[in-house]
Amino acid sequence: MGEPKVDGPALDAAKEDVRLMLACRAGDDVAFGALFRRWSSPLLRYLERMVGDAAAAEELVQETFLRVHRARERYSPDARFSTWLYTIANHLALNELRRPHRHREHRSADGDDADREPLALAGDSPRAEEAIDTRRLGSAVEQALSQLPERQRAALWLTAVEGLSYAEAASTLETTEKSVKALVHRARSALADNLHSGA
Amino acid sequence: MTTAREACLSFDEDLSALRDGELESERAAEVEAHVEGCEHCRARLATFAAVDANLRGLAAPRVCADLESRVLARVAGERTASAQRTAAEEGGGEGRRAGRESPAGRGRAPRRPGRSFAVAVALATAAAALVVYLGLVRSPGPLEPEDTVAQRPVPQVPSSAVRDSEGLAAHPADLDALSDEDLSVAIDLETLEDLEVITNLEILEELGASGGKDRG
Repeated sequence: MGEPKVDGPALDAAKEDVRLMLACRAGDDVAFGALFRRWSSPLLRYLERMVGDAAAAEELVQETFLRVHRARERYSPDARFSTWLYTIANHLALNELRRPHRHREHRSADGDDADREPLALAGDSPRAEEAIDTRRLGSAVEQALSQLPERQRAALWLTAVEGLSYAEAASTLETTEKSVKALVHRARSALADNLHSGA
Repeated sequence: MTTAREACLSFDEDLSALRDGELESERAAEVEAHVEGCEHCRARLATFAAVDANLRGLAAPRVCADLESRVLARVAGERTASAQRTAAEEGGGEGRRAGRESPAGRGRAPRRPGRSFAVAVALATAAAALVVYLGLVRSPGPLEPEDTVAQRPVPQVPSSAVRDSEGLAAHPADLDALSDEDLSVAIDLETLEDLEVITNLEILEELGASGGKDRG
C-alpha cells in the first residue's frame, strides 16, 4: 500500500502529462490546450458526480484549468499531474457543495467521515428523489453513488474509476492512506448492498 | 472462539484493499487464503468487482464543444490583464525613481529629461533679476506687521516665479493671496511638490536683498 498504481500505458500517459505541464509552465499554450483535451472529460465526469449538476461541473472544469494555468510556475513533477489536477478540482467541488445558497443534492460530510456509519442509500432516504437529477442519472449505482458522503464518493471514484492509488487519493483529499482505505471500503460496501437490494 | 462470521468481519475492510492492490504482500496472502475458503467473502469480492464495473461503465458526460475555447479565452484575458498590471507597475516604478531624483516626479510618468534643470535655471535667473530689481531700483513698500508675515504659507515662492497675464513678475505682496495650488498652476508646475525645487532660491533672494541694502 502506498505506491502509485502506474505502469505500462498509464506510466507513458503520466509522463506525457508531465511533459505537457512542464511545457505549459514554460509558457506553451498549445501544451495547455493538449492537457485540457486529455483531462477535461474525466474531470467533468468526476465533478458531475461530486456536485450533481452538469452546468456547475462544467464551470468547475473551467475554473480548475484556470487554476492550473495560474499555478503553472509552481508546478513540480514530483507527483502525477492527475493528482495535482484532482486536488484542485476537489477543493473547488467541496467549496461548491458548501455554498450556502446551493441546493444540497448530496449528503454533507464535514470532516472525515471514514468512521461514520454507512449511509442509507437511495430508496431509504426521503430526499432521494428530489436529490437526484433523474434526467441524467440513469442507474441504481449512480443514484446510490450520489447519496454517499462526499468524501466517500470522492475516494471511491478516484481510486476505482480514475485509478489513483490510496496514497494519491490521500494527497488529493488531504487525509491519510488509512482514512482513504476506510472511505473506499465504506463506499464500496454501501454500493454493493444497494446492488444486492436492487437485484 | 471466533465464529466464521466474525472472521469474515475481520477481513472485510481488507477485501477492498485487496481488490485495489493496496495490501502488503503478507496481509494480501492471508486475505486471499481466507477468501479461497469462504463463500461469503468470495461473493462479496465479486460484488465489489461489479460495483467498480458499474461505476466505470457510467456514461461519460460530453464535454461542450466550446469549453476549451472558453478556457483558453479566459487564460488569454488573464495574461493580458497581468501584462497590463506589470507594465503599469514598471511605469510606476520608473516614475518613483524619477521622483527620487526630482521631488516633482513622484507618482507620475517620467518627465522629459532636463526639464527640471531648465526650470530651475530659468527660476534662478529670474530670481537674480528680481534681486537686482528690488535691491537697486525699487524702493520697499510699507512693511506688514510681523504677525501677518509669520502667518504666510511656507515655503514661500519667489515672486519671480510667478507672472501675470502679461508675463510680468507679480508683486511679492500679491503672492501671499494665492494658494499653493494657484501658485503651482501659475508657474506651470505639475504639483505642489515642484515648489520644493525653487524653495532654495529664497536663500539667493535674501542674500541678494541684503547685498542690495548694503550697497544702498
